[in-house]
Amino acid sequence: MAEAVYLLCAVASLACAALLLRSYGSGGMKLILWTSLCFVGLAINNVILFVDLAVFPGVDLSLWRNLTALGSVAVLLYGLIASDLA
Amino acid sequence: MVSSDLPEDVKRLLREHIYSVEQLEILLLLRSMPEEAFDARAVHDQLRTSETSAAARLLDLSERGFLQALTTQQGTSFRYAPNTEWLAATTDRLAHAYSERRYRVMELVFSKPIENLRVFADAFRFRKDKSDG
Amino acid sequence: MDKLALNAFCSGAFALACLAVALFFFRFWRKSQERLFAILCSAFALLALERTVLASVPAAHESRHWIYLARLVAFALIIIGVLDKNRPARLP
Repeated sequence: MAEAVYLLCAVASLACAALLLRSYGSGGMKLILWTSLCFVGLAINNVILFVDLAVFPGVDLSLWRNLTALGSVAVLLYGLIASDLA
Repeated sequence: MVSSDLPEDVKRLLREHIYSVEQLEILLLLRSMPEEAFDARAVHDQLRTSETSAAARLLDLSERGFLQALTTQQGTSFRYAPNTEWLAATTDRLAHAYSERRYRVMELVFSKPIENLRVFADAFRFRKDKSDG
Repeated sequence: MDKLALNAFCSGAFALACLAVALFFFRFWRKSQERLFAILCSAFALLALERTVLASVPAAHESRHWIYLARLVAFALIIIGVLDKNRPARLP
């Protein structure tokens, strides 16, 4: 059950990333790029979580999970600070 | 900054509600004729702006409390009817400021981060609609 | 570095980063009244909450703990936000 949830989250995240990348492609703010990269990273994070629990239950991928999650949000946070918005 | 800048409440109104010159002109147009109800077509006739764009601005202004929406069988039209006293008084002062110091008002409208926030939010759209003035 | 400590460090950093991102979106929402920003704020706040609860509950396994639902809700919120943003305008 939880595994299905993580896959759903990965798909949702990837869909957002695709939408934003398309927006960025037709001339957009840098922040749009950072946000889409964050969603890509979160999708990867959810996939790794799925793999960790369902595919290779013996192997511990917790470090990869944590690093991808942290990296994704760090990228977005950097983008938000650098964007000088509001 | 010049010492005799625009009044603070006008600046606040601009900051919180006004994000394009088109929107401002539509607001002031409806304010100049408060007994008239305007729809997108009427705004287009007066200001020569696109009807789709005018429709979006009218809806937005009514949601912000500047206009009152009137729905009939023919469609929806709008009348200038600010829903708070502060809104009414400050819009009057804004209209005055726009006639006296147009460029300063426009400067404030364009330098707004809110415009960029809308641009950012619009990135989440499937179809890009370049509706702005 | 000790693996457990490194994981804990990353967890904490992630939670705080999510909270900071949520605060940015909160500010964006206040400035622009865009519903999407309120939704994104809630989503990232939920992610921070999920990570915090996971760290607080001892030996929580992510598949056996109800908290993973918070993650589902967070992403569902984001999807709802995107769909809401794309609703057609009401005027003819």
